[in-house]
Amino acid sequence: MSERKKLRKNIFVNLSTSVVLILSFSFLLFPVYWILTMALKTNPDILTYPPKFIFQPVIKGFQYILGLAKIVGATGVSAGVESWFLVGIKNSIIVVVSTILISLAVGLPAAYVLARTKLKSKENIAFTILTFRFAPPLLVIMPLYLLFSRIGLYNTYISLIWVYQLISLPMIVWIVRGYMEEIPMEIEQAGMVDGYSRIWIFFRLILPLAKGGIAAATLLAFIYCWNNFIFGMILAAVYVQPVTVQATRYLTPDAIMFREIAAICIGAALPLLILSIFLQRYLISGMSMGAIKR
Amino acid sequence: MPKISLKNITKKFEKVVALNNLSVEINDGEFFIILGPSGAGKTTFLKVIAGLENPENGEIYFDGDSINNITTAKRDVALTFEDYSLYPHFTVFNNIAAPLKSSASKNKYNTKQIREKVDKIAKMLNINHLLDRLPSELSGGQKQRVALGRALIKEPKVLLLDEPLAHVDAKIRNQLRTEFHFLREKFQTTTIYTSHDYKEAISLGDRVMFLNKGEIQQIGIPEIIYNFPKNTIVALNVGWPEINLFDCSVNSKNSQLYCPKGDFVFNISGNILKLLEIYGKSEYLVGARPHHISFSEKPSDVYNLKAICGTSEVLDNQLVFYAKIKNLDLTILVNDPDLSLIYKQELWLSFDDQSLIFFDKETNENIKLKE
Repeated sequence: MSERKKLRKNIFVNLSTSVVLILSFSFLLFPVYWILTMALKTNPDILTYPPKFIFQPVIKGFQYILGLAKIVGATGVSAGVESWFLVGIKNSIIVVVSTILISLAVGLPAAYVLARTKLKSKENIAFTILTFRFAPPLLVIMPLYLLFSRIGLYNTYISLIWVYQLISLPMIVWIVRGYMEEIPMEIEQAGMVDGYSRIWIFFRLILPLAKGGIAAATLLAFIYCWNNFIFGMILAAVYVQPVTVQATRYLTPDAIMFREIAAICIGAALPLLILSIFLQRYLISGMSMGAIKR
Repeated sequence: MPKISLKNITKKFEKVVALNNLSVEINDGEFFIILGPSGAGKTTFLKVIAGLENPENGEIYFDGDSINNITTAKRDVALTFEDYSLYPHFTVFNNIAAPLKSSASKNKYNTKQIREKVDKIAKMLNINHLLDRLPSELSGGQKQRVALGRALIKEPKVLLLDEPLAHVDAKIRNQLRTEFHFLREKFQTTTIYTSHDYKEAISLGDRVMFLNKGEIQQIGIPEIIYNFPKNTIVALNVGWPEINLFDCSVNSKNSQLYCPKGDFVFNISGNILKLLEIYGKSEYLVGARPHHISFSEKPSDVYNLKAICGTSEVLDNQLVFYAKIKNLDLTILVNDPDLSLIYKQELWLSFDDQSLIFFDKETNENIKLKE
């Protein structure tokens, strides 16, 4: 192929790759973009057809969900609005962070044991933990509601933290177990020969070397727990429900407050974004197993 | 610097028997080498002594005290692994210092003392310029030295080295082998060193134990292992090039041996004949080391076995070539690298009958070592 033809082929390949990538990203990110613009539009703009891409943005939606707006009644008396967003964020943080901490405290040692033990029932136990994720939440929600009400756990943080383990524990155990299986037994044996206890070996050798897996599992578990809707809606009432359920506060009898719902979606996604950025460096670091010859 | 005794040690992994009823005694301060091919059980042997694997059967004694129930941390042994097993996320300094900071050392050393000890060992092993590096930034030879430093720093009672030179470049290997001689003199610890390379074994060992498939084939000083191998397995694995082995039958009347594969006879002296007659059998497996076969380009009374020359190879200052007598392939080693042999040239060979090794055809055992 001549030089000119090669150059043309190169440009064509690069151009078409870029076009495909731009189209894919546009398709995938469009809903995010749309919600973002919806949070900034006036109600007429939201509902109009054909849809408006260029509009005058307003920040009333965000002010409203943060409780910074005021309602003026017919008699001229103004009242503040409650910030369901902040209530929801507070609940989400309490519930999900506690869930993750408990899942890590239980799941990391479990992952270690499941990675190392020679018990014949090892795979059975691991699979059983995985099956927790198979149960559709809608299937178990009714029995759970009846059970928790009866033992007085309706509308408590504990009930949510407990139930959320169904989501986070299998993820942490399975993902971290895979990473721990990759750590050669010889490193632990070197630690034992050097005179260290199994506990020291677990905290100072195994966990640091499984850092990548722990970060990945934590992030995934966090996202799935944070995004959960059904457990919060049924097992808790207003002041315990997480931010996902608080969006329903804006489905009022008067009107469906599209803008405020969009705003709360954006607000609910922000903590996840921040967490991803924070954990990203652990995900990328991987394991420097250059100390072991492969 | 204890004397180590193993009595009837058996270690199984599921169905595989890694160590089969081993009993051996290793002397105080001895540099004891375990020689054997891959899969022989050398690493398992070391791990059993270290306490990282528990034997199904048998006892281990240090200076007469049973250590079967003592955990690894308290046995005061050091082990270097074949793949070094350095802590990947610790610097070289922290890798070497690790044994001094463990609970087993009962916090005996303060920071300053640890610093001094690490510097001293690092200097001795020529790695003091690498102390801030991570293991992933080191070469094979450097990693090996760090692993050694980590093992030596706690001045253990027993030093276990698992194929330390196996994955190191040839040039560094020679260098490190010299260092092992030096370390041996300096530390006088009871040392058990495993290898699949018989040259290392012969060079470094006070005594050598040949292990194959979990069973001890022979234990003895290097000279004995080389000159009086107990069976064909030991003979084939010790010595380069590999010993020539072929069947022969005895003709007492003519004081000759007949080899059916090569269809030739050769004379043997009276004392050899007597040895064979005392043993009693009429057929033997004969072993001839490559440097005990001589040749001439012209036939004579002594050089009377006609052979066709095959390919040849010059290594260092030696010449190795292959020759064929009818259907029998032989390897021959000569100290004259300048000799030029032509492929398919005719040569006349002679065996040095005094240096031949005779093995019983059924048991594969050296008849000279039969009690």
